[in-house]
Amino acid sequence: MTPTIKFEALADTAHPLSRELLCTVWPLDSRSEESPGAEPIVEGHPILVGSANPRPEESEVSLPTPGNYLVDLKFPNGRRTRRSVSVTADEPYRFFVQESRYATNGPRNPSAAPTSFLKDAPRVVMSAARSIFAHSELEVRLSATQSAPGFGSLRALRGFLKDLESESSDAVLINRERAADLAHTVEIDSTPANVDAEFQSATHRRAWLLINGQGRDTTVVPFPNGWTSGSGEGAFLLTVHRKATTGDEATKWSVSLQLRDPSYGSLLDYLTRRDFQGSNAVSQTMRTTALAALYEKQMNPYAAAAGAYMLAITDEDAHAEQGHWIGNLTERFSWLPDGPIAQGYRLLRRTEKGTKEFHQARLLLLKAADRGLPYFTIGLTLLTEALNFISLASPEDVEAKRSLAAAMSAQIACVRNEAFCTLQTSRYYRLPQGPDERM
Amino acid sequence: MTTFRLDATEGPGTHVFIVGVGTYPHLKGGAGNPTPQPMGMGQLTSPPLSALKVLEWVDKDLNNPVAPLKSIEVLVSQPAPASYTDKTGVTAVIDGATLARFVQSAQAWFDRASSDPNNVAIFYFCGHGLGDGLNSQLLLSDYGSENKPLRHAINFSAFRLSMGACKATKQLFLLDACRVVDPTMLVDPFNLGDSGLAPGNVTKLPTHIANPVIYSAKAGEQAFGPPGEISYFTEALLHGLSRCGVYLSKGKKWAVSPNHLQIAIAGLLDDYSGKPHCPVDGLVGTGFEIHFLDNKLPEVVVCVSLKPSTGSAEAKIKATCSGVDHVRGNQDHPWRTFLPFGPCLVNAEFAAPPKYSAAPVQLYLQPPWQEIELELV
Repeated sequence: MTPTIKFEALADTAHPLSRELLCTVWPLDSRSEESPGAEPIVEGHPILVGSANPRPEESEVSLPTPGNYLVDLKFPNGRRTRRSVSVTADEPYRFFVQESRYATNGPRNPSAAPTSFLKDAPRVVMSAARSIFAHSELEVRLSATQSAPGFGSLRALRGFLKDLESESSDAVLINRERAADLAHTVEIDSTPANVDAEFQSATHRRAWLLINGQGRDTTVVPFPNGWTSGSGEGAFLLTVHRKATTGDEATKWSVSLQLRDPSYGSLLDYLTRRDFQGSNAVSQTMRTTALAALYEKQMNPYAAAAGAYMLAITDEDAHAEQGHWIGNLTERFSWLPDGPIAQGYRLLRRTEKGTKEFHQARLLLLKAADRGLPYFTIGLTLLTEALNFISLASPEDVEAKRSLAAAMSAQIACVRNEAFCTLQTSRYYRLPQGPDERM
Repeated sequence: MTTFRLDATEGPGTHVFIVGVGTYPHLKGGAGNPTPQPMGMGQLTSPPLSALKVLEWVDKDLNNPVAPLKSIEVLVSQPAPASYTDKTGVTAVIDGATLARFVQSAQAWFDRASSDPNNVAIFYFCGHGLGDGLNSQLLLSDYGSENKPLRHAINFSAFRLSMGACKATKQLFLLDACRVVDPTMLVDPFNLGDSGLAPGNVTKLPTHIANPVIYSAKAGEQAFGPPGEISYFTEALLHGLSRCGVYLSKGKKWAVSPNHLQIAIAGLLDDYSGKPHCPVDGLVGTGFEIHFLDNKLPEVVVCVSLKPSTGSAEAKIKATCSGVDHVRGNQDHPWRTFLPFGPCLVNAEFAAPPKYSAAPVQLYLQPPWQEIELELV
């Protein structure tokens, strides 16, 4: 039997997530004081953990001979673990990883494991809520907004958020309860009746999750409505947790929307941390490639945007076809900010001030800011970075500076380590008004 | 402008720029007119000491045959001017870190670093910092002297982008400063700090060079240093540089790279909260050599924990490396220590009658960092 290390998740969360970790292995036996080291025999290899039925090639590493090896595992959330293991030819070495260590923002303490809403509530309540109750301790709603040009623009975000909150009673209620615990998790999958999944329609409306406690401290997350898992399982996990059940902290729910899809979920986690090596490794696995083809067939613009960010930040010259495809993402999905961000950033990386491409990139980034809050945190990061660069390269560019100020405000109010833009309105409202708002 | 170890010979070299700011005349406790917006900031004792320690290490210990040390540019602000005698015997009083001095020194550092594409350019800053989302503002000594909040601060993003025009293809930025968000910065997007370098430098995104940034603090959070001592980040940085942030370069020599340095610092600063430490930006590829450990074997940051941890109080945790015992001398759990690179046996012993017994772990320690868990039964 080939000596093998098999990676498995050790369940310590109520709602496990599968993720791709990056594995590096060094042989140890051939060493001595005189021969102080060796090159790794496996380097940055993606390993799938947490999946119920992983294929061997996804969760195992084969080694040339039995013996002692040093294993380094890098997690999508930036942590890593490193252990020495002894591998025999008789049976695979089972390398366990705690789920709570690699999952981005799940509750870490198993004793404080979240209770699922699903035990008592349907996945999505399809009727619009007409609340006759006082504000509950925890409410999750899904709202839809029009996608007219400029509506929801980052430069007018304050008014947009106020409107979104004030009209939230007409939104689809996903959950409401008198929460007694510190943490909850809800699965979200199906497309509610009041939002449409017709992505390319000119009347397509963007969906937004609004999460609050007792009507206060609302967190807003642009929801990638229509991204389904296809397996009957919810495509997303929404985890909320708070520090205390009484006092001021009781209404301050920390919100984390996570994609169940292990490949794209991992890709987004690595991208969010700007770990481009990790992103690149995950994007090249067979699983991710197969999924990319599937999503392309389904015309899933969110998955396409994640792929576009990957292309935007790498130096590899994408095939002409891919460049064309990123352009299509901008043009066909006129409500999606992430398309022009990826396209503009990619152009900007390959050009310099004064060129036609620089001008084109600038217009794309201004267009992106005009489309509103991007879906992904990496998008908001790249938009801010690109506008900052344009503002420095062209100090006279007032429009770029105004959009930069708006993007910075949004970024400060968003939770940085979440894959999806997760905007805390109370934080946003406390920020000084930007130049556009003061005019 | 204060320069040590200037070597104008041709060929690749390492050019270092060190800034340590402890004295802020316009902040709380300072001798100048107080700024109306001190934002709770005052005088610091740790940054000058940290900067001088880094200066000493660079001067005496930096060893890079690929790019030998060719200049150290340094600015330090502390109550009495700092002075330093370098390895060659040259003594100089070090200029304070005002904006005017910074601009002068930064340009000199830029020009020297730009003299050869194979140069290594290293920038280190320790002092007050502010965040504005992605970016950091590094506050210089004369911060608050004008009624424009960021007039005497370095907009780090602009500074790093400006360094994209420098020909040195290996650049490393080490920022030991808070990144707490200051919303007042957003009020005026037309005044976001100074780049410290010629504005015309920013014409293209620096995608053609390696220019990672290693931060002491996560975005929006604080950095710490004990009063009167060097900061925690700088202490970890120096350990990483001289002991453990290494890999075997070309299979021959132990070399420090930004990538391994970050892992070493993260391992040393880990507070076991479950959150990742020592954030980086722009770390791509396999890195580049900053320093070589000649005639010295590396060490490894080791973190030993017991499972369950309830056994920690009575455990004598011991690591035996090449016949030498290293014993936990305190009750820290997990136990963090440095152990020599190579084979090692880690065990936990309990006094009779033993409540637990541990399965010893035999392993080969490899830098920069290793976690070891002893299972107790």
